[in-house]
Amino acid sequence: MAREKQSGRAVGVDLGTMFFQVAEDIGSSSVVNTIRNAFVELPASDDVESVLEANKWKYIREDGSYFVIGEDSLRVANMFPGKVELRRPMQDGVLNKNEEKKMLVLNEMVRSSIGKAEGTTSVACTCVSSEPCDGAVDSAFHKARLMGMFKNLGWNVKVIEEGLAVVLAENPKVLEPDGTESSFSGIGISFGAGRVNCVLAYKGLEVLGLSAARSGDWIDKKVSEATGEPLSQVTRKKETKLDFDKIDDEDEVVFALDAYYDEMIRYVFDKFATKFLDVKSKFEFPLDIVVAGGTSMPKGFCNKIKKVVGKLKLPFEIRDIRHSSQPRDAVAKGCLAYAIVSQRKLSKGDPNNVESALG
Amino acid sequence: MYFIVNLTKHDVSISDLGVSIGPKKSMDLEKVKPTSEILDSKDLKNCIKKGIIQVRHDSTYRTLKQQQTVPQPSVDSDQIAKIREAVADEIRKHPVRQEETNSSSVTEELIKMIGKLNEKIEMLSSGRSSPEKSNEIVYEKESELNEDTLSNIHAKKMNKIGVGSKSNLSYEHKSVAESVADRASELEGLL
Repeated sequence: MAREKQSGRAVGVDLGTMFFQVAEDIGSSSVVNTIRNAFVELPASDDVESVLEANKWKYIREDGSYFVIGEDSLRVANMFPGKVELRRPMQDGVLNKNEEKKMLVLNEMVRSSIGKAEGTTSVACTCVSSEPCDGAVDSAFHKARLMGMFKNLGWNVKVIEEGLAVVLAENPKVLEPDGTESSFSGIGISFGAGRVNCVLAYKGLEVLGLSAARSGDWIDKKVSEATGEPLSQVTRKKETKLDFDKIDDEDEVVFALDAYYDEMIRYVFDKFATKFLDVKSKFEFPLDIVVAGGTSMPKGFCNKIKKVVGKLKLPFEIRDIRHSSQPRDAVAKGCLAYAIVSQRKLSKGDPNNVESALG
Repeated sequence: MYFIVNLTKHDVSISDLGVSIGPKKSMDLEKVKPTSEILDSKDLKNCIKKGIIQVRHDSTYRTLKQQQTVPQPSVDSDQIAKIREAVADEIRKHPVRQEETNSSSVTEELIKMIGKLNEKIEMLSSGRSSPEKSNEIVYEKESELNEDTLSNIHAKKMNKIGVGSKSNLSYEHKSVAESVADRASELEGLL
């Protein structure tokens, strides 16, 4: 669908540890495009290029190397086990400080997915992790680098916390004491690969948030260590066999997955409960919890949370715990909602006065 | 960088720095004056206090500390014992004849030499060698740039990454759902 030349675009971008996603409204639909956030490096030669082209594998060529991106990187890694290393630009929810090619890969992903901004009112909204409860991450550098990537392409940038993006995508509501309903109010939790992000929001604004590195990758690693099974096997079982409503106790991997999921949920809610005490007096009404993220995908996950949380003494009342309608896409869509709002404000205001329009 | 802006419509002079800024103009003071002078300038502080000058970016180092470091001795007690042993061996190799030992001047000289040697050994073992000034400067605090400036710095960096590279990237999975526009409209009403 052709866009008017003068009107700006609004995109939501989720640079996740496992997946890179871009959401944009096109016509009457929201389209979310995804690419796996991983790559392998191959030496440049005519043979390599012809193989890549013949298989239509996605790659970036720079100097003396090819960087095969996305699912194709898994294919290459499986074809040459032990000879090529699967690498990730992100780790634990932030830029992987040990990966020298991270910016080349991410920069190209951003450039090829959203391109240069149109006009002066285009807005890209992305997300970062909330304040960690378990050790520092270099969030200032990470945030500045993300913003730099988009600014370089001419976009106005907004950055929100990942848990807030879930709230904006799913619109939980609270029932106020006077009987009225307040939208975009409740707890949003994104269970990603690298981190869990948890935000309490009220009327679309974040009240408090935290993040923890105990998420999908942590579970896989712990289960692999406990059972001796390779990481790839653990991940495969998690994605195909794990059902929290029907745990197979005879399968040691599934049993261990269940135990570590338990631990992850308990840990996050314990930490969140401590932080919540600071605002307890202002939130004495029951709260909805909405859950998203790839690590929340196993069947029965919400029931699992209910079971674990039921045993905890929390300083807030839970009205309901529900899964996002599209758990893998919720964060990107939440960022998109925020980008659309920002872009509309920018269009109404002075296009040269970006800061006041965006607030 | 110590970036200031003249908020007024006339020239502003910072006398003790010998600097003048035109109306609505800005400058980086660190380019024309040393940091210590900038931080000590009373006229500048007055201008800032009165709202005539605004500091936009300040990345000066707040304090400088010079450390004096005394190099640790590179000899340990084993080595000192070896030195003593070597000196004793040398003395044994060259025994003084009976008549010479009676000479008070030789004895005195020997005693002095041994005394000096002992002193040196003692100095080495206690680390009392001549102190050397090191050029090491320890900065106590780095100030922070604002988010906008920081992201602009990173944007310039991003501009250089991937220059000359080529790619054929495209999406792998596409999911289509209900438009987010209605949700955004509801959110817009709140924000």
